[in-house]
Amino acid sequence: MLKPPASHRHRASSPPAFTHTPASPPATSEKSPGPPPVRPDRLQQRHTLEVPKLHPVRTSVDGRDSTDTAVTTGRFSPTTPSRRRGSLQLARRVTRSLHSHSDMQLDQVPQDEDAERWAEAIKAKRAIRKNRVDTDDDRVVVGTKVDEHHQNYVRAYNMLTGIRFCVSRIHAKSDRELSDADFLAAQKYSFDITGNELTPSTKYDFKFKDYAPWVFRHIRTIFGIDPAEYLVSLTAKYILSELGSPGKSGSFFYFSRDYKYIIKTIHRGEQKFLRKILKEYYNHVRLNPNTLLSQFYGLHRVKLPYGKKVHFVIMNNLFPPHRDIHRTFDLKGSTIGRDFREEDLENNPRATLKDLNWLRRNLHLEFGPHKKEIFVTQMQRDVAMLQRLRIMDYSLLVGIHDLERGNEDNLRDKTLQVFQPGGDKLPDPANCPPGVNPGLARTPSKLETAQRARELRQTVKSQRPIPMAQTMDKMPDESSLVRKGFYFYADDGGFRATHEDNSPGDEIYYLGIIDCLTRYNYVKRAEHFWKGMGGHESQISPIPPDRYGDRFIKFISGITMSRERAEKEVLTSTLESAGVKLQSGVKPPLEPPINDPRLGGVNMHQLPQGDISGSTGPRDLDRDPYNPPGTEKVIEAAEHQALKTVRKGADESKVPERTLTATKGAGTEAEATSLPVIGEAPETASNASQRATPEPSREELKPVLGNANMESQHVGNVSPPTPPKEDGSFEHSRRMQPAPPTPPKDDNLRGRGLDKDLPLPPIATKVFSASPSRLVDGSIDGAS
Amino acid sequence: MGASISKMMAKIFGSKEMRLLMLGLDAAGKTTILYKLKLDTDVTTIPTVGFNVETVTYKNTKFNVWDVGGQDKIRPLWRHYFSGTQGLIFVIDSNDRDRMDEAKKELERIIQDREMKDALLLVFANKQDIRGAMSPKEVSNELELDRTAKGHVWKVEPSCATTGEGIFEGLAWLSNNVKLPPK
Repeated sequence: MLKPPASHRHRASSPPAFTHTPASPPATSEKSPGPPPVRPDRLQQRHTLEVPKLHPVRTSVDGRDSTDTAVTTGRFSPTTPSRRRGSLQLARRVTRSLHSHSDMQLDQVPQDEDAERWAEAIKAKRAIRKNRVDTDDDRVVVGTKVDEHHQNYVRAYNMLTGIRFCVSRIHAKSDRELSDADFLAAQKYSFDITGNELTPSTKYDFKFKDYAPWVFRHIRTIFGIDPAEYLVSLTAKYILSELGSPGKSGSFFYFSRDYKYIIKTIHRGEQKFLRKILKEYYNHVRLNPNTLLSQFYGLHRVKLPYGKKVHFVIMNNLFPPHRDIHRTFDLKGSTIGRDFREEDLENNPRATLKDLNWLRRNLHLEFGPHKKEIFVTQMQRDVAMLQRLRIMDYSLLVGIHDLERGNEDNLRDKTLQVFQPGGDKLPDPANCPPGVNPGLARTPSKLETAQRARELRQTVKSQRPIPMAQTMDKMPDESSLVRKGFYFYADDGGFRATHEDNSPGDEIYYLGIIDCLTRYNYVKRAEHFWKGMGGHESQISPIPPDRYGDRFIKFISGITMSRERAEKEVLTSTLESAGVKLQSGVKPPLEPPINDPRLGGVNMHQLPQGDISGSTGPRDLDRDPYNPPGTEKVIEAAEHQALKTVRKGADESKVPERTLTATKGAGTEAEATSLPVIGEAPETASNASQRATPEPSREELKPVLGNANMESQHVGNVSPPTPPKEDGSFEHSRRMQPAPPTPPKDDNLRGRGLDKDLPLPPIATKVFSASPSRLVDGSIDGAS
Repeated sequence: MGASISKMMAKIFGSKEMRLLMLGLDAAGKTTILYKLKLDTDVTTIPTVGFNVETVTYKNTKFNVWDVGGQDKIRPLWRHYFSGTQGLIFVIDSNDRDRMDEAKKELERIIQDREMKDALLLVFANKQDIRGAMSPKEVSNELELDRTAKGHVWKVEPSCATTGEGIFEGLAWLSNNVKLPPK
């Protein structure tokens, strides 16, 4: 409406009128110091006094001409009211200034302003509360109160507005086939506070770019995303939750308020790369709707004025809103540097753990044969595509929900922060930006628009955005968003563990392949070279994509087995190795050198169909029919590393009982080929007690498998495996056998199994504190 | 003389611009109305998820019309289009008596939003070509416009999107009333 400037200009013209009247000089002279502090006040008063009917006329005239016309209107319009008004105000001003002079100090005025601001804030708060009552769906699903992250929530606001706009726009059109041009398409939009013919008015100015809208629309359809639901989840409210801190890559993560989508900021290079591979990705996804790869739902860019360009993607959140995730792992199949320090875990129990932590905990992806087959097959397909695109450094993200623990721990509420760009329809009506008023009948000129925008911005700036006042509702306990028909997300949003007979297990895995936008480029090559100098070239993370993928598949399939199978393998390896040990006494190098994962064929599509149902014999169990050949080697190599860290860990954390150590096999074998021989000095007490056990039955032999929630101490707190009775003294040396599940595993298990009920008679600890190699010798001697 | 001046004024100031927001329950005929306005043809539409926006010039007024999908899932998004809106076109399916109550509630929620407080309200009682359609009077009673649209300038216009009947009359009313100062 341009009200304030109009009245202002008018008033500016009035002083000349006063100078004509002789009576005024004292008043004017007093007035001159007055105006600056009072001016804003006066404007508002004027506002309320205004006779609305006069306005359109005045504004239109004003808009056309400058002060000249204002003067003439002053002359022509009935001068008395305006002059009277002026004098009224003058008088008021004078009294006020006198007042402040006489008894009050200068700080009186700021105090007043303070009070005003307080009043406003309180009003705003009430308005929020009222709003919340009014519209029941105003509640948020996720989160806790958050401080102001000003920078971030302006960005979040802009992201959401842009997404809403672009997605809405593309979905209003009727569907059509994709053309090649769609993959390259990009559309820029500019948003500002006034809005224009194409874009709605927004609170902040920003530019937004939408990449390949048609392609992503199709991709969303493939993944069964309902556009309405997508829009509402993401953008109905300006509420996102931010992951505490940016990730290792410097990316920011935001969750939609229902926790279903992730917005991740990416680098420009990644954006370029994604666009480049978009077609491949699209084709892959079309042929493999059950893919484990990250699902990209949108790629956009936002730019704030004078700000950086920020690219971001929208992806599926693998983790469900309605289930606590008790442990998170990020697995790559590499072991160098893939360790989360167990000591830090206490400080940050929700941390994402890595390969070595996984191995040390002796965990498995507990899928029975049926699910494993499907899982591994899909993974092979996905990885094949990644290899083709020269991508590496991706990982399998695994979230484990333990059904027995359920949601008791309320983990989710603690890990998320929510923020909401404030000021959303909160300002008092009095502050209402004039720009939103209707009634400006004429198309505004550019200048006017600019000025109006400036004023509006000023208003917005002066309204402090309001953080969400209080803790919002809890996360839901029931899922409303289970996606039917997507195999790996079908069980309560995840993929449930199964037993060997394919009956459902106790855990739900939420898994997917993430971070798949890293190319094997020069940087990675250099990294490969550098890290490779350490000597464990096969275990570092940056290796060429083909080998990376092979190792990845083998590693993951190697750790995928049902609980029963894992137990059996532990058992058979125990028995078998003990037996072998008796005969040869030296570890036979059964497998050829293991350092090159390339040796195994990866993308074999016809899997060997073995009879996996029966517990036919230990030998048969050694090879899982669904593992690609070479899996054992990869796993062994990885476990080798894990053992090393266990040893190191023992040194660091000074856990007294933890004396698990590794020694080199017969010593003469080439280092590359030999597996470590583990001489272990387990907790003496349980060791002894076990020896005392006369005839361990098969039941007692049954190992306990690792548990995702197991404390790190358990790793060290091991007791020896139960040996067949006659060779109690061989228990250490039999470990030389390279059996797929490696030593630390069964130790671990047994320790847990036995600790419970067996008494702990003291026995000579000295023996076991001796150096590992001697220990082995010693025990053999003792036996013979 | 006076006439020529007013003509000149019209030339200079004639291009009024108005931002309109068209809402209503799903399947009321919003998109059909929009494209009738824009293309003057009866197009086949799909349920709108998201929005369509078109600019239509009629009688020296440039109407920037936003047609936002009305499925009940996406109604929460409506309010993001309120800001800057000078006129609300609320479209009613005059034959859908069962959902008049729902329509009333939605309209109430929109029109009482602070950002819409100055907007004109035009209600299209659409689908008048079907026998047994509610009359404009009935519609305004059903919507209790006297109460819900209190403080707004409003009008109910009978319309038929497929033939275009009533639609331009509605726009004319909007452009005539937009100059009125807010009450």
